[in-house]
Amino acid sequence: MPDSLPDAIENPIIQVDDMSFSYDKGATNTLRNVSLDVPGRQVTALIGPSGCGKSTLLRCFNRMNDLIETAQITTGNIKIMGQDIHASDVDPMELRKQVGMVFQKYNPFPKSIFENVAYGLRIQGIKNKAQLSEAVEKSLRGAALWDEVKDRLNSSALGLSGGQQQRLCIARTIAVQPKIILMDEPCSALDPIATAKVEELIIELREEFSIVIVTHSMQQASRVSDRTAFFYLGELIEYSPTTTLFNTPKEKRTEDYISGRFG
Amino acid sequence: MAERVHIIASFDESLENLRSELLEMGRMSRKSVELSVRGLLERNLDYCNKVIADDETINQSEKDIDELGIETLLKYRPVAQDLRLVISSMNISRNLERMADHAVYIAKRGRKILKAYDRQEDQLIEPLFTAVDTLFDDSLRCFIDGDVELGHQLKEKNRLAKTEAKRLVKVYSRNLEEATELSEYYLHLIFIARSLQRIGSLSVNIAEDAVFHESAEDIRHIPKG
Repeated sequence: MPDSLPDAIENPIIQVDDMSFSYDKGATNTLRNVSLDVPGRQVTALIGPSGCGKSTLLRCFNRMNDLIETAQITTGNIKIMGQDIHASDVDPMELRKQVGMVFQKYNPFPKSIFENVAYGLRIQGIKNKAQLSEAVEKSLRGAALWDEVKDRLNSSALGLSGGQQQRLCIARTIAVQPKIILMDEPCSALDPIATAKVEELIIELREEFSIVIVTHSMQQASRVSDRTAFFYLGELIEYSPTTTLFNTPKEKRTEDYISGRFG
Repeated sequence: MAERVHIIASFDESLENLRSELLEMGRMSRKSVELSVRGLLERNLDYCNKVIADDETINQSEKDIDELGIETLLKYRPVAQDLRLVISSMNISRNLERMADHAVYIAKRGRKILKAYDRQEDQLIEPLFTAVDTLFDDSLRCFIDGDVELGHQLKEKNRLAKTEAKRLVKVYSRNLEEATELSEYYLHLIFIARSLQRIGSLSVNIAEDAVFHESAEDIRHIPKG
């Protein structure tokens, strides 16, 4: 991880510009006037207390919130690789190929390990067995899982441990070669060893993907991320290189939150 | 404005214990330096003996502060100013322990002087001691009051103390050349002046840590001008 990052972000992969978001057709804004540039091939952590809007923002990046009928962006916009993701010509399914997501609770399909990873590729129309095998191996290696499962690729994914299931979900995500991976508290259901493996994986994946991670663990944010954004009551309070935010936060609200203060 | 406290009350207690222990160690170390010099200036052997006897307590304080610091790091994973408090406290206690060691060197040399010599030149130490004692006090005040500005001033103040120490060493060296039968006496005084000079520099180290704690600014090793 770089010792020090510049405050300015050149060529951001995600640009959030003055965005407000509502779950109830604009009656109340869950996110208010958020502006944030997410750098490419870095890990960006979103932190803040429950209800601050960090997961909401994450789900805006691949338009997962579209699935909620009353949800809408009320001001501003989000651009990914320069494209407004709410433009009329953007297909949410195409967007989600570029912006993969890993969830809090690992959710492998009740299929074999191989089929779990091959699933997205099959949806894309890839049928060639050799091509699929190659992609599955590459993805499992990328998710640091290959050595553990290479002899039982046809076994049920549900037989894997929790940590392995989560890494399988990461393998499934990277199989379709997204540009961005969103992670919503990916380690919250894992034990410390499995957590360490996933964190190590996140650091490795940064070489190839841009990662945005929501986490409640400040230690996790400080270990894996290059930049951290702190949200409070729907507002972006502070966004800095992670070392700066955890050592010398500029805002009192940030310092109080990260050091566990109130009053 | 209401004081911001940690959600985990024992975290506050842990930081407060660390702070209190450090301040007590600072008080003891400064007292040792003072007694070591007053022992010499006032020809008081008891003062010298007390400094030597108290050293063990100060050494133990350093260990206790390390233990408290490590415990706080492990239990609460502090960040930002809390983390800097733990790091600074452990650094400062290291410096305080070395200052107390210098007090012991001074006391031991003072004791030898008192037993063998009855001369006036040792009184020349007093201005240097006053300058160094002020530096010591200032460095602790930097930490207690979070006085960053004072912390920045200490390097300059220490330059004056260094100049005084050099002047004194020069005087004693000249006397030593002129009266070789008193060489041991003057050598003791030269080493005492050097120890005081070192205590001044260690005070600057404390101020640097105090500034780091308060403002996260690293003012170590900044070139002059």
